Amino acid sequence: MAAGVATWLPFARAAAVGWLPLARKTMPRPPVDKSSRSDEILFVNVSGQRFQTWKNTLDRYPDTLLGSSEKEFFFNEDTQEYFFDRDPEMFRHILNFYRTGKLHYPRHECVQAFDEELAFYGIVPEIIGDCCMEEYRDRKKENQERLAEDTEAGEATDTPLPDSATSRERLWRAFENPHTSTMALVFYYVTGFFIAVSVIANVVETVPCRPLKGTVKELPCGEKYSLAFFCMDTACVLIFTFEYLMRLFAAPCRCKFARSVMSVIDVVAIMPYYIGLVMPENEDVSGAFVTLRVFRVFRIFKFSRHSQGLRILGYTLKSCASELGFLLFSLTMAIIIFATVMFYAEKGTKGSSFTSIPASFWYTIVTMTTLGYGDMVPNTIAGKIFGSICSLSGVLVIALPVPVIVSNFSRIYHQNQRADKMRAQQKVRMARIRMAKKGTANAFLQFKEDGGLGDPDSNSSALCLKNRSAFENQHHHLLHCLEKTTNHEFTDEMAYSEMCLTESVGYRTSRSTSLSSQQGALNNGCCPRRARRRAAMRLANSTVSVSRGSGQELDTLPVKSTNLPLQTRSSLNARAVDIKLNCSDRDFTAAIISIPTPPSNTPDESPPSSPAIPGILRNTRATAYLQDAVKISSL
Amino acid sequence: MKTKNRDQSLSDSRELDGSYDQLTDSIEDDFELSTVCHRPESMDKLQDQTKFTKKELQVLYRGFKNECPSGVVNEENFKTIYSQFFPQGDSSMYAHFLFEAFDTDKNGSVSFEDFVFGLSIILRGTINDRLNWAFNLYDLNKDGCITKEEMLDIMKSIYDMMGKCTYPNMQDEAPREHVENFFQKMDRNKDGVVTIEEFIESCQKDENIMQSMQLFDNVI
Repeated sequence: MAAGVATWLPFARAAAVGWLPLARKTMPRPPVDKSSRSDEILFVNVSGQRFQTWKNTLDRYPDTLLGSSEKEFFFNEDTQEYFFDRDPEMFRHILNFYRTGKLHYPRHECVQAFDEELAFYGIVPEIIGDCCMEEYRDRKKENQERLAEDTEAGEATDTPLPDSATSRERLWRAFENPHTSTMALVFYYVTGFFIAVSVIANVVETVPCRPLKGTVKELPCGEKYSLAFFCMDTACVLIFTFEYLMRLFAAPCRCKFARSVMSVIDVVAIMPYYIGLVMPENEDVSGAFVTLRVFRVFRIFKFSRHSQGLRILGYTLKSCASELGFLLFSLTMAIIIFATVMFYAEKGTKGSSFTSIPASFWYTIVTMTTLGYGDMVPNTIAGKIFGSICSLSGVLVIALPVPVIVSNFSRIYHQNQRADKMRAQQKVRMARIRMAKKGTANAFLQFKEDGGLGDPDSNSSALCLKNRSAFENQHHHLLHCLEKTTNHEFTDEMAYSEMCLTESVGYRTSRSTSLSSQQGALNNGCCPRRARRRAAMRLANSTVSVSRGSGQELDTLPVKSTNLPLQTRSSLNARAVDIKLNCSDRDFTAAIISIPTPPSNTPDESPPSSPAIPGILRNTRATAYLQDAVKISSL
Repeated sequence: MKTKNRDQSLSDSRELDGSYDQLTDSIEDDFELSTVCHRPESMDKLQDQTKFTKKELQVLYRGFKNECPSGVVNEENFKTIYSQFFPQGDSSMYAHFLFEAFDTDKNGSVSFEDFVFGLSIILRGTINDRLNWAFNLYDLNKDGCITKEEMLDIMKSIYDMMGKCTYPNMQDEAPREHVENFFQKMDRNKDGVVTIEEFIESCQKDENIMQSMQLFDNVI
């Protein structure tokens, strides 16, 4: 029941007077409401901004945080008010929802932030009022698309292949992403070269060359040097066939690959040659054979593998199919109309070129597109009048769908640009984050060097302990406990990389991120996934070995982000309460870093060590686990 | 040139026919929305005229104004609000009768005063007042007596509020039967109608009804 009408309940109960005289049985006794009847004003303090509202207002929606007893958790006895450490701007909208029954979406806010607030206060986003629902949905969809793009960009193609990849997978990877290995790059350029050669050969074939000695007639070069061209053609087709067969072999799903556009283009490019080989030198059939040669020009489309711009164009045209269809349809309509009119207008003229309506089509098209060849011109006055109307309307009809196509192209192009930029920036960001992490890990090692792990009562450790916050002490104690448990010690990067040199290159990322090599050995054997997760945990406590490249960063970090329930945030928040500023001179600052990570592909296991993560960097404020993001902040 | 603020829908064939000319349509009509805003009389006057205390009036008005910011309830709103208390059945007919009963000045809308006067009678009035009000509710044409048809309408509307899923199953003749029962009890002189005197007299004699009057304790 809409709680807004709860205030009308007394009226509804009063209206029961109409049933009284008709009732056959006695009415039941009314409930006795012992609670104080009078409505009271509640104080809600949201990050310092005080809101006041009637208790009844909040009670309207009992399945939300503010309407239920859940708000008692936030009640501050000292100030007799409910305190929420949230955004007061957003709270205004939330409170308005209680007051008016309609939830509005503030357009200047980030849609994700808004969603989080709603989730916190227990309000379902579906009840956003109609006035704001469109906007909210659009922004949300845009956001999700963008995140999906980013995850796609970060995934797959740049990460190194696992060891266990078959040669087939490697081959496919080489084809899809030529930058992964030199072989692939070489092959990429070679095919590109041969495509160009093939296309140029096709073109040059038809150019007239000087006539053979002794003859007068000029021959096209193709016939003069027919053997040379034939050899070149054969070479190209061989390369293309080889490439196509390799791709077919390497494709993870052959049927899907066979149906894809690129493979169809490949087939169409090489088919004419084979058909030409098979076909006999028959006069009748050679006409068809000549037609087949036209298809050789499709080889130029193979360039779209090499050029992203071409792909974008193709994609744009595909996505604008409806606009193009409309353009075509309207043009056809106009052509038929005007051709008919022109035909009948010019019918009487002697020697007129408008011999039939289809013949007039040519005139209409040429006029509407403002080409105006002049091979067909109207002679009668009526014809001229209609001809001018035709050319004017042509401009309009063509101009209408063009902006739509243009804007589509622009949008897709920019999206692509953004995706590329993201990918490039990702590497830089990862590098910076790694730098920051190295800092924290060094803290612990420094701590150990100073002898902090010694007896807390001894004098030697007193000096270094003095300068640290309680949080740091406890964190380091924890790491120390871990060392004692596993009977291993944390070391720094240099010592580790020496160890690493002795290992083979293709090792799992988990091993490379683990400092305590034994810990790595313990886990690495059975399950690479689990090892990866442990590596992620250790990431917090160790320096990240840079030797493996950026890919591992993306590898390990995504694992950390899981679909943790949002309630953990409050526990993580609480942890940061007793942080004091560290006055040690070894302090170095790192900016607040946010890493949007792709959603984890392993939702089954949740990292148990998540509460330990807040202790990563010194003086952490709040570490929040969001569904898709890991925010690590430090001062 | 007047700005146009209507949607230009190409699918509206009226435009293609040329029978609907948007350019000359006056747009000022759109802005002549009926923004009726009704303010109730002062609280002191209401306090005198009704039996509610100041606080009670405040609570009532706040609830009223929240649901109906314009200060009046029209029948549609009324029905919507009332139907939210009876989700299983169809309360629109009974809400209509209630509306008629509350709308004492018959202007098609219930203002806060009407609302509060009605509630004051029902919740704070004497038993006679309540019975009077109930009679007024039943007497649809306000001619001073309840006929069988009027009673049947009322009864049907009440049974409609129950909806279909009842135990025992709702029979179609249940309202009629109930009406017969009612008339048997109330119609003293068996003239086929129930007058106000018969009604009050019969109700006062009925133990059940008298006991049920406690229903209105603690409603506000």
